[in-house]
Amino acid sequence: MWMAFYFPQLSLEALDTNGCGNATALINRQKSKLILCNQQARATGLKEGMSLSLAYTLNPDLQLREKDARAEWEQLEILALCLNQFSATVCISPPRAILIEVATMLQYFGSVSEIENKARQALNTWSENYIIGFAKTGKLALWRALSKKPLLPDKQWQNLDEEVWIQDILIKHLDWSSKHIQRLQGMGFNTLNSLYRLPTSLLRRHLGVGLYTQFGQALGLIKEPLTPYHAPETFKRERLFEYEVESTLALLFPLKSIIQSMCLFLQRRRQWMYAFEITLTLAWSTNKAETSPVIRIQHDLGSDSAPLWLELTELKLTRLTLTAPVRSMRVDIVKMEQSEEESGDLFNNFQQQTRDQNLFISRLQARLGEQSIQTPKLTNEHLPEQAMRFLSVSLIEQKAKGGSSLRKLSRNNDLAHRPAWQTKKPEQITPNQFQILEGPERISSAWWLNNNAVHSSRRDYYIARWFDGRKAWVFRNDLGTWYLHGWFG
Amino acid sequence: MHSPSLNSLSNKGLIWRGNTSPIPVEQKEEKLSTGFDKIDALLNSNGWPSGDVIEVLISQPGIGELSLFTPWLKRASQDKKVAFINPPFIPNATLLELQGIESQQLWLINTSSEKDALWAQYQCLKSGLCCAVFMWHPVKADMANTRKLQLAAKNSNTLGIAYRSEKAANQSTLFPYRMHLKSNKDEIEVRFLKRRGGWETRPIAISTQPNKSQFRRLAEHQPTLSAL
Repeated sequence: MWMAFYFPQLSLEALDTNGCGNATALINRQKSKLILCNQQARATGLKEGMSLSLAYTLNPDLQLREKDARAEWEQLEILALCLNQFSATVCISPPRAILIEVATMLQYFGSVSEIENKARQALNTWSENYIIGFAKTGKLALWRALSKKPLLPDKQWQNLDEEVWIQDILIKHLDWSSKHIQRLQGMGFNTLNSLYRLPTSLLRRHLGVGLYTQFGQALGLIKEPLTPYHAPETFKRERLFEYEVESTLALLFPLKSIIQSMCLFLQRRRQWMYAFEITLTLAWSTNKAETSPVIRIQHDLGSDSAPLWLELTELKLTRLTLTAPVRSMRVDIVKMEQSEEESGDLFNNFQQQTRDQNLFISRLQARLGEQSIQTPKLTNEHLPEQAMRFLSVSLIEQKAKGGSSLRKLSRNNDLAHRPAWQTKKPEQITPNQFQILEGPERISSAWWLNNNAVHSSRRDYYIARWFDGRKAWVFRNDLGTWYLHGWFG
Repeated sequence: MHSPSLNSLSNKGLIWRGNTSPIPVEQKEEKLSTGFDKIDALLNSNGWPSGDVIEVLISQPGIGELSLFTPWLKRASQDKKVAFINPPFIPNATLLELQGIESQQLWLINTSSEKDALWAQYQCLKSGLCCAVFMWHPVKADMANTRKLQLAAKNSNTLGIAYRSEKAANQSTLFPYRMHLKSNKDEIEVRFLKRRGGWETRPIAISTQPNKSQFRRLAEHQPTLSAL
């Protein structure tokens, strides 16, 4: 048994027009007529086939769009991926339908109505307007959806007669050309049942080879040429904006649907994404390199969660300033890998802690920049400013390193005389600013590596009382110049 | 090691105890002390109060404001991070490691604007990943923001330390703890202007000089120059 989903508003839904709440219609530029209207447009009295001048008279705020075949196909692919969770056999039936085979899934889901309920819940994110049809073949299921007669079958569906399957289907609703439909209606054939009662030879003569084959396929007498849909290896999306976008936050609206589609793609392919890039095409730029700025969004632990990627994208975009309006946008996955199945352990929250920590780091890096969060790495250098280096936090590196670097340290008693705060750079001072309390402690570095003639590789450090009472860590270099290098805070 | 122990669950009040006798003294000191008996005596929480933000008023940075917290951080930072957001100087990770705070537990967060700094403070306090968040606030503080930070600290049981200039002493804040620090040679004078369950206190002198015995204890496990 097959289940068909027909999406009458697919052409508009593919253009992301539903969320804006405006009256929108598709037009045929050559004929200057409306092809398709959304609900808001219909509410103002517009309908398909209406001329453009009349439409603008009824609704001066009407927004017009043109059909985008690529966007429609991408929308069909996403719907197919969404419905893939209910059946292994999902077929795209252009231009606006998806067929899924459900007979083999009845044992798992229990009943056809259960599959229908779950499918409706899953489709909520992707489409608001769709019609469902059931039948023993894909073609007939589509016809039932087109005629808005779903015929929900019971458990004994295998015993149903062919006449029951095709009852109540009017020929005028079928996806046949209007010329053929008018000819058949002219001969008095209004329903599929009236055609079914004809002898085969007569039926063939009235329908012609093409329609006769379709009729045969619908009844299951001829094998349907259905090709199951398989998700592609990778995911990319391009959007050419109708108007130039001047604010980064305005990019969020189209990005939301793209990221949701991307995460659905990842979930179906059982992949985790680690980074993706948004390439913008600017309207103009004085610098050639800046005509296509690339925004990279990454999360080191990987995820297929749309809310997480949306949050990181929003954080990144709030910090970005556009030098020129954006004309188009491309989204590509940079890195994705097979997702790992995790074993749950009620008494070990380490995995959860690692996940939380990495999400936190990604969040901070997305808003504040890659180098915004750093952790110190201790080295065996002698000069204080070289003894620790602050590196960008990478959780994976930390895990690999493990343990403490305490073993590398030596001369601990000397370190008892070191300050808690260190200045970012040694700051030149004058001797009358302090009074020496303890010292000196000589610290030398490898003179052959030293390129900094100002601070010198040989220093005599002192603990000194600053003029305002604080305890300072100061040093004098070979040239006799004094520097402040820390506070005993 | 990272799974919640019975004691940690009990400390959060998630376990009902049939025997309500207090925790043994040795255990209490080891787990909850600030490292300074005089301060412990003033804080009813017996340790720096996780889940609250302490406002520390200082004349200028570098008078001992970090050393006051390092004994407590030694234990608290074992499974949580210590965040420094836009510090005026770099924390000496080498020294902190010798005092028992592992360098990989330290996070240094730098932001380019005050708005971002506030956002980072809120995120750090809210996340529950940090045991302590060190923040530097301007003299003029926003009430709504301080309230948000206090609520975030409370919900995640994180200690927030907000340093402000002593010029802000006359301004009120919503933080439940307020301390004034004053440098006095090798000691610092600590005065609580505001605290939970108590009145304003007189200045108490605290010595924050590094305890050399602590370093010696660490040195026993390490190769010395002569051994090499």
